[in-house]
Amino acid sequence: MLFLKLARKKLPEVLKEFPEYSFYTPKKEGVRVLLKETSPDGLPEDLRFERSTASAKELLFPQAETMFYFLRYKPSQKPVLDEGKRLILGLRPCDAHGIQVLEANFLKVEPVDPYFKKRRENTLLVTVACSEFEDNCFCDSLGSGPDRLNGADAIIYDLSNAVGVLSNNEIISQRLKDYAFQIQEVRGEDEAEKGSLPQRTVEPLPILSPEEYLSLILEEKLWDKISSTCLACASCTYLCPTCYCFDIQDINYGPAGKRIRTYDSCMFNLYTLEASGHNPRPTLKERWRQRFLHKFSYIPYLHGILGCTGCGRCIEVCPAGIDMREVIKDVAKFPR
Amino acid sequence: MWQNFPVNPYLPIPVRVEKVRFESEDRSLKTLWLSFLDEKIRENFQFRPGQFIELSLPGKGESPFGIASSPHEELIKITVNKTGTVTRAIHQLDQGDIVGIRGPFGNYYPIEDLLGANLFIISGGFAFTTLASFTEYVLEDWSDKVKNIDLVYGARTPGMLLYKDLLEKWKENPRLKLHLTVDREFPGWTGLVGFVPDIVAKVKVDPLNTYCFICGPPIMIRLTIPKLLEKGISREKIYTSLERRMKCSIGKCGRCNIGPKYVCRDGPIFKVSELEKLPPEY
Repeated sequence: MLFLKLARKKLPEVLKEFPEYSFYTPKKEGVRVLLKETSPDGLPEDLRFERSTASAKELLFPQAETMFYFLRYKPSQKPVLDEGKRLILGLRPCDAHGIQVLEANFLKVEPVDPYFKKRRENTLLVTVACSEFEDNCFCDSLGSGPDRLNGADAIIYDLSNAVGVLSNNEIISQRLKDYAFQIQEVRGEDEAEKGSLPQRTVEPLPILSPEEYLSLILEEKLWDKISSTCLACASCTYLCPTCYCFDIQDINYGPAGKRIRTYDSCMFNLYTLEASGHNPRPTLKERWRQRFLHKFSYIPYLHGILGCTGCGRCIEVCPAGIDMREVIKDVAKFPR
Repeated sequence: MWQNFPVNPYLPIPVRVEKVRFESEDRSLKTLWLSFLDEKIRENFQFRPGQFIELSLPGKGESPFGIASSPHEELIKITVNKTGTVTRAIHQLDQGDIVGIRGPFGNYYPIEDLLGANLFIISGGFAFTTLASFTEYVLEDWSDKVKNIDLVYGARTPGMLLYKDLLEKWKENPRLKLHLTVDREFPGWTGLVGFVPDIVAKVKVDPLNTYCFICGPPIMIRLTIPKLLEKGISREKIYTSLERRMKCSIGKCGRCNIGPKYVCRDGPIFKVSELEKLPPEY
C-alpha cells in the first residue's frame, strides 16, 4: 500500500495520465446528483463532491444490462461484456464499502459473475474522504467511513495545501509516482496522514452481532411495527449501494431478442411469488425482516462485512419517512 | 459443477427435445426427455439425484426443474407443470425442438451416508421428480448397500400420479414397499386412501436406522415432519427438498434465500435440524 502526497494543483494534470479511461464524477443536474462523464479540467478545487443520488453501484452493476442476444430462439454463445474503462473520482468511502459488498456477492463466491467482473477490472474507483457528515448518514456507527479505503482503489485526503492519496492499486500508484513530492510505503491505512476529519457529536447507533440479529427472526411484533408504515415502493433498494438482487427477463423483437437482467427488490410481492400461488414471504412484515436481516445478519455472516454502508440514501428517498437509524435503534432495544 | 460452464454461467447449453409425454390425466403435467447437441458435453454432464437444472427458452425465459431421470440414464428427464408463461411455452415443445439448459445446480441426496440404512421416501403431487430419480438410482445402483425402502407417494387422484411405468416396475422389487395413496376413493383404485402425512404416520419403520426424504407441497412437508419426529426419528436423518422461485440458480440474484442459506446453492436439500435454525420462509 502506497501513500503519496501531491500538490493540490497537480490533480487535473495527474488525471491526464489515464487517457484510456473515461472520467466520471458526481455532478449536480437539477435536483439530482448524477455520476457523469466529464473532463478532468472541471475538477472542483476544494475536491468537494455532493453525494450522488444513486450509488456508485450503477456504474458496475447497472439497473438494466444485456446478458446475451439470441436469434431465432438460439442464444448467441458470446455474452455481451462492457469493455469500457472508467475512472470514477469523487465517490465517498461508504460507496466503496458498497462496492465491497457487491464484490463479495459477484466475485468471491464461485462461480464468478462475468459481467460484474469485467466492469470491476476496468474501473478505477477513487474516493474522497468526507470533510463533513450529511444530515442523514451514519457511517461512523458502522465503521465504513468517513476516512476508510474500503473497496476503493484509492482514497484522497485533504491535507489543506496538498492532497494525500492512499492506494493499493498498481496502476494508480505507478502513474502518480512522478507527480508526488513524497512517497511512503504504509502497512495499514492508519499510517496514512488524513488531515482533519469530521467529528460526530451524536451517540453512535447500537449495532448487534449477526447472531443477535438472527435471534430476532421470529419476533413478529418487531417486524410488524417496523414495516407498518412502509409503502413497498422499493426506492430504498434501488438506491442502496449494497442491494444486488436482480431479475432475469427476455425481450423479444420478433424471433430475435435479448436476455437482460434488471434490479429487483425484496420489497416486492412478486419477488418471491411462486407460479403455484405460494409466497414464502407473503406480507411486508416478512419482506422487511428479509431486507433488514440480509443487511445486518446474513451478509455479515456470509462475507464478514456489514450489508449497510450508512450512506443515508434510503432515509433521504423514503416517501413514508422511514428512518433506518430509528429502525436500527428499535431492533436493538427489542428484548432478546 | 461449474466446469459445465467454462465461460459464463448464465449462458444456456443447447439441448434437443427427444421425447415428450403427458404425465397426468388433466394434461397439466408434461414430461420431456432432453439430450445435449454437443457430444462432448453430453458425455461429461454429470449430476446426482436431487440436483436441478434451469430450462431456458430464449424469448420466454427460464424455469428451474428437478432432474427426474437417474444419472445412469442416457436422456435427461424433467416434468413440467403448466402454470406460468415459461411452463406454458415448454408444454408447446415437441420432439426435435432445440432449447437450452443450465446446470446441474444445488446439492444432492446424501447417498454415501446411507450404507446399511433403511430409507423412507415420502412425496406428494408433482414434486416426486427428484425423489423418483433418487429411488431409481438407489434400486439400480445402490440396492445392495441399503436395507429396505418404504415409499409413500400420494396424489389428488390416481390419474395424477407420475411415472406409472416406474411405479409398476418398482412394485416387483422385494426391497421396496410401495404405499401409493390418493386423496379420496375412486372407482377401480385399489391403493391407499388418505393424505400423505396420515399414511406416513401408519408406516412402521426402525427409528434408529432410517433416513427420511420428503419432497412435496410446503403444507405436506410441514405436516409430515412432526409425524416422523413422533416415531422417534432424529432431526439429523430427515431431509427435505425445497422449491423456491429462482432466477440465476448460482446464489447471486438473491431471491431464494432462507436466512443466510440459498436454496439454489446450499440446498435444495436441507436436514430438518438445519431448517429449524432458519426463518419459516418456505
